[in-house]
Amino acid sequence: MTRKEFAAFIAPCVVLTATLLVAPVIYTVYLSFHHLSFGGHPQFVGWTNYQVLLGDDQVRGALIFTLAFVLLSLPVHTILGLALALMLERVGDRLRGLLISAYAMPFIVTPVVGTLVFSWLFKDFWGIVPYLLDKVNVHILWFAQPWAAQTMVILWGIWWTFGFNVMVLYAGLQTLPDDHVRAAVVDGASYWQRLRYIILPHLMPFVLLISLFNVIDGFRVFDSIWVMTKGGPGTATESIGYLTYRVSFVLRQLGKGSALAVLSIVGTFLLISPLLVARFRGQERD
Amino acid sequence: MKNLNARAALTDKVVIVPLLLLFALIGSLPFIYLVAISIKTPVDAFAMPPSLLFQPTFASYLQLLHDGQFGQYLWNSVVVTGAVVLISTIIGALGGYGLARYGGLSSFTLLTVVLVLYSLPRSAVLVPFYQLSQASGMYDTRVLLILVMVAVNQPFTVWIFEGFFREIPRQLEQAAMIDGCNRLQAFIRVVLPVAGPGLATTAIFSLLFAYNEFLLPVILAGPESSTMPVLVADYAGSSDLRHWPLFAAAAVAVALPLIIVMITCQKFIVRGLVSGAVKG
Repeated sequence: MTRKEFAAFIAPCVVLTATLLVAPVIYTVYLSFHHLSFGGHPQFVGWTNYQVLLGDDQVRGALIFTLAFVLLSLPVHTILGLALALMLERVGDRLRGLLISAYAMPFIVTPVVGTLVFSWLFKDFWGIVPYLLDKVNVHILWFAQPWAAQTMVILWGIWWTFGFNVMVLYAGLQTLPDDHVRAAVVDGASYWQRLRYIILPHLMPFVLLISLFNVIDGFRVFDSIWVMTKGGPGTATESIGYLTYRVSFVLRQLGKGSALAVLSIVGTFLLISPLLVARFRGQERD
Repeated sequence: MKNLNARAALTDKVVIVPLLLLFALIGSLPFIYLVAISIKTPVDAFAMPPSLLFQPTFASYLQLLHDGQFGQYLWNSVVVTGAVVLISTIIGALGGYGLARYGGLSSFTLLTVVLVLYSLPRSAVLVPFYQLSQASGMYDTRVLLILVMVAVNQPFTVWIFEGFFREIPRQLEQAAMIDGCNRLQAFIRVVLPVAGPGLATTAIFSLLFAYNEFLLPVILAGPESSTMPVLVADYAGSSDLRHWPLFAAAAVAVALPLIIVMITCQKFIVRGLVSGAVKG
């Protein structure tokens, strides 16, 4: 393909991305150095927004909760996804198709809908979870106690994601060359040895990929917080994404909100860079 | 050996299948509960423990049908999702094909660029779009929502297409070009017809994105152009428990098309996810 043809083919998506995605981000960076409220004119304030944000307890609280949300659930749904994907190999095609659909439901169905039901399950007085816990004499007000609300949101995160991980890892297992496994069986390798030396190494790129998506999607979690807790009680379950929304569109401090958006870009990048490096190394080896 | 196989079969029945089923229930029971509430009367919906035997009623669904707001939001969802799927797929196919054939970028570079763009929080583009749309009078129009969603969705579609086109042999379009087609003609007449699965995968992911997106319409759309997730979220904000069956009916109406898509198109979804991981 000539350079000219290449330019013609990618022109529509480059123009679109540049004008509607990159340009707004640059403007957001510009705004982050200004003071601006709705209807006003931006006034240059230098690094003030960043200084204020970095010293702010609410920002620190949101950052800690967001990191907890991402990092506590990541190992759980990764291992769960892996275990279920491995077990799926042992059942028939028909049942497997149904099972995968059931696992993926929380991920495929509109997050707003999934969270709505999930929060109903935990509702004080009317929900099934408090009802069942009452039976064993455990009384938790899921929306009033900070740790309980935080736990509920993290549980939601695991419920939301594990099916996605099953789908990708199961598909990854299908790409494992048959002869490798057969050779190992002939050599007398046990299932655990095969898992350790053949299956898991083969799945590594898939695990890295789902982790990348899980971290990115987890770090910007917003919909579910809005529907379940609105960041409450107090600001216990406020994520960075939710706080940014609140600063920009509820408190209407656009400059500060923009600075927070820029900080979350930096934060996401710091979180995914080790995964990207690992993936790059993996490719070098191949 | 036979003994071992018999033992494996027993483990499958006693341990593996029940575990698999347990998590299938964890994934799907909340949605079944949702359907159950939607066909209960408010009194039954409150009952705790949940009443298993009840007189089903479709009153809530009938109520939705006569709710003008629901109709409006549903129509907005259909138009916005349809347009985003169509535009994203066309632009993504062109870009993905160009990248796959030019080969000037390593796939790792591409992945990095795509992930950086993909990982941008919505809030990084919301304020500019909000201001611009207020100033230009585009606020609360479906066109605005479509433009922003296509832009946000673009990196991902290009990336998926690139993987699919790379698997299609170059000889195919080279033969067509020797026969006198130009590059674009060869692409449309020869390459696209064999890229069906790639088109399906990208279309499905674009559909999931546009149909499920909440933050963009909640900020950039008002009563004229808002899509269904905004309606469901409004419902969720209400603390009036008497309306649970109605809210549940609306939520089921939103979820049902997706569940049908997933069951019928599962292999395209899985394939799309996996092509990204394989190609590196």
